[in-house]
Amino acid sequence: MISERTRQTIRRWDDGLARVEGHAVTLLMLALIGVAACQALWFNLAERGVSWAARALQASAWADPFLHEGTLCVAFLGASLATHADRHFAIDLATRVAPERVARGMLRAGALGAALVSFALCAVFFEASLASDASVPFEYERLTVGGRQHVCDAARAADAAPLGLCGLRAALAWAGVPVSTFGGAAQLVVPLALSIIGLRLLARAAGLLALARDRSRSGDGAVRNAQTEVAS
Amino acid sequence: MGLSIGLLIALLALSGAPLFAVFGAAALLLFARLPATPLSAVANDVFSERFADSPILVTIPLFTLAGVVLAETGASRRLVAVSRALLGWMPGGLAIVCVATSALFTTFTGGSGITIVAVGGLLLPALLEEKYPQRFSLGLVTAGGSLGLLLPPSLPIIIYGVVAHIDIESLFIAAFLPGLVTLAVLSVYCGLSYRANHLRSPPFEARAALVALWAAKWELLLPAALLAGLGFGVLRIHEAAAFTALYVLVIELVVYRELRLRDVPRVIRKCVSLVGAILIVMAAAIGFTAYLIQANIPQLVLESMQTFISSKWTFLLLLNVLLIFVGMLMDIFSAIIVVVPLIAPVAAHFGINPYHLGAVFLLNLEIGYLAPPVGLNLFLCSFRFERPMAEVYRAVAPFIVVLLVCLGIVTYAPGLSTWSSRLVLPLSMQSVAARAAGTHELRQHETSTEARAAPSAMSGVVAPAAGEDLEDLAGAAELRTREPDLAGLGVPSPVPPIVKPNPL
Repeated sequence: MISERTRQTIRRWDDGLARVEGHAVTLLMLALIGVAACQALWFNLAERGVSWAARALQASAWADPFLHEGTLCVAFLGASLATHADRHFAIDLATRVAPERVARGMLRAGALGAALVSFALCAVFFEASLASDASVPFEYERLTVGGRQHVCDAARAADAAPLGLCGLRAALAWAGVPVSTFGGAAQLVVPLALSIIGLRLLARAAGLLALARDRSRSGDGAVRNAQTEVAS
Repeated sequence: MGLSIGLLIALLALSGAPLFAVFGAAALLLFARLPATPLSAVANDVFSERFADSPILVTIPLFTLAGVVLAETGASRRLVAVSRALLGWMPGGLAIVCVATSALFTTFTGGSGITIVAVGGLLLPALLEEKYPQRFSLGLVTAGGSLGLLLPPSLPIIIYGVVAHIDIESLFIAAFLPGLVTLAVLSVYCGLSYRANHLRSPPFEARAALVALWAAKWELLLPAALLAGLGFGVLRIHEAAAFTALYVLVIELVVYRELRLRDVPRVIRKCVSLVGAILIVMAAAIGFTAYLIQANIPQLVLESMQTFISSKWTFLLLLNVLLIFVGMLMDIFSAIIVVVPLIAPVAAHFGINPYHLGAVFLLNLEIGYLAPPVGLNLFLCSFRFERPMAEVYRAVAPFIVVLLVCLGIVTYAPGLSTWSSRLVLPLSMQSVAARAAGTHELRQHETSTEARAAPSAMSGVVAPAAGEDLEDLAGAAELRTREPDLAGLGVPSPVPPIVKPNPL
């Protein structure tokens, strides 16, 4: 049997992690709004002959990739938050009509199955994200005496090396995860979020985290379906 | 082997496991059966233009945020007040108010059922106070919960466009008239019910109407500004989504002050967890549809359907029955993700315009929300208004009949979807193309230029504009062949020649 203290510790960790995820997605969402709004503004001003807007637009080639990768991060961190709140979409026909005890057992079994799938997907997505980042895009390379090198590795370009990317790349390389672009690093959010989702589902299957239907009864949660959750 | 995989997936689904896990398990198990294909094939397309690099994807969190902010504030109250002041004097006025407000509210909040709580909660007592029959009132607010799904910029339209890989702006235009017809037919039914019950409406008060209009002016400006921005090419679709989110945040924070700055993170978290719940299902479903395409399943479905369906109209009839059943069992987002890849090629075979199919599809799911015994809105209504399910079933029955009439009109009058877009599309497309020409000089970023030049060509697929005959697409075939990956978002394109095995 798991003690109540362990249960509370796990819930505290889970809530703390959700807070961190919440702050991250808040910043990301605001950044997405800001970048897309600036793009629209600059484009329309540039089209009307405003030179600084044209320059700003030219300098914002990173904006579209940022919007794509940012949305990917929002999506998967959001999915992790949805797991925290037990708000995922599910076919809940059987659990809706089954007696309470049976329904709870079914939901726990479903959470266990979903946890295993999440871990398997995590491995698959990790492999795929590394594979998709394996070929270094042209703009991340420099031509050196020794041939083409990544911008962070090319000594000649050291002064111009983007510190953020090189720092992130070095940190991830230290952890044994080779990435060459910001996009590649951002894609790692998918396996990361899937592993957190898997852990949360596992904890729910083991009864360490409450099911939404239990929480709704105790008044600190809401109903099962994600849509119903919004409505409530 | 196949049977045991099916059984395992069914058990996982029935046990209430999250839908993304069901799709993920299906994709993993099915790809594991293919000896020459690595398991990472499940994930490859997620990092491609089919999902992560799709320029439309970013609109989903941004439009959802706008909807959640509106739902959190007094927008529903103001919209009800405006509709009541403008339409309340008509025969069946308050009921028509319910139809109009619910539609407008659902348009921005998606088919989330939130309308029943926010608008229905305000209007049910008012309807009862004006002596509308209890059963009629209950049915109306329940039916109102899913109205407006066909009006732009409803989230289900965007998701449909992404999954079916057709131009979102054209789909907005194509679905608009069917959406209006649905509202008009329901309003007529409300007027008839008003007369049958010998009710009286309050007189029109110009002053009250002006006050209500003034109070809601900022929210009422939004749809107009959005459509103008898109129509005149001032905004791309994702910029329009950012504009909507920013506009709604600013008016609720600064003008109405019904949202405090410290509430913003909470509202964003709420929005993001809904978005995450939707997008993770889409991501997992992309892996699943990659298998379907690899295994040539849409082609097999098409061949088997050809053996017993010969007419386009029979196909549409069967499609309607199937989709209502699907809408009853699944939420709208899951239904779109699961069913669209399978039916789109079949519909294209029968010569159904993809935009017409979109309108029919969404209207079916709108009805599916109300279909007994397990339509989601029925549960929401029963839960919110504390009425037994049997009473809710009886209450929604006449509204289902009315909506089926609308479905018949939308299904068998395809011109309603395609004719309207023929009128409006050239303006939109010309302005977008004009912007594209400027963009090419301003931006040396080829990808974004392509997306701007032809929204329909995003992710490397040329989709027909609404109203475009399928035969006209023959000319686009050359363009298509230049793209290595023609099936779009892991989804077979509506036009059969595009459906190819995925070169995974």
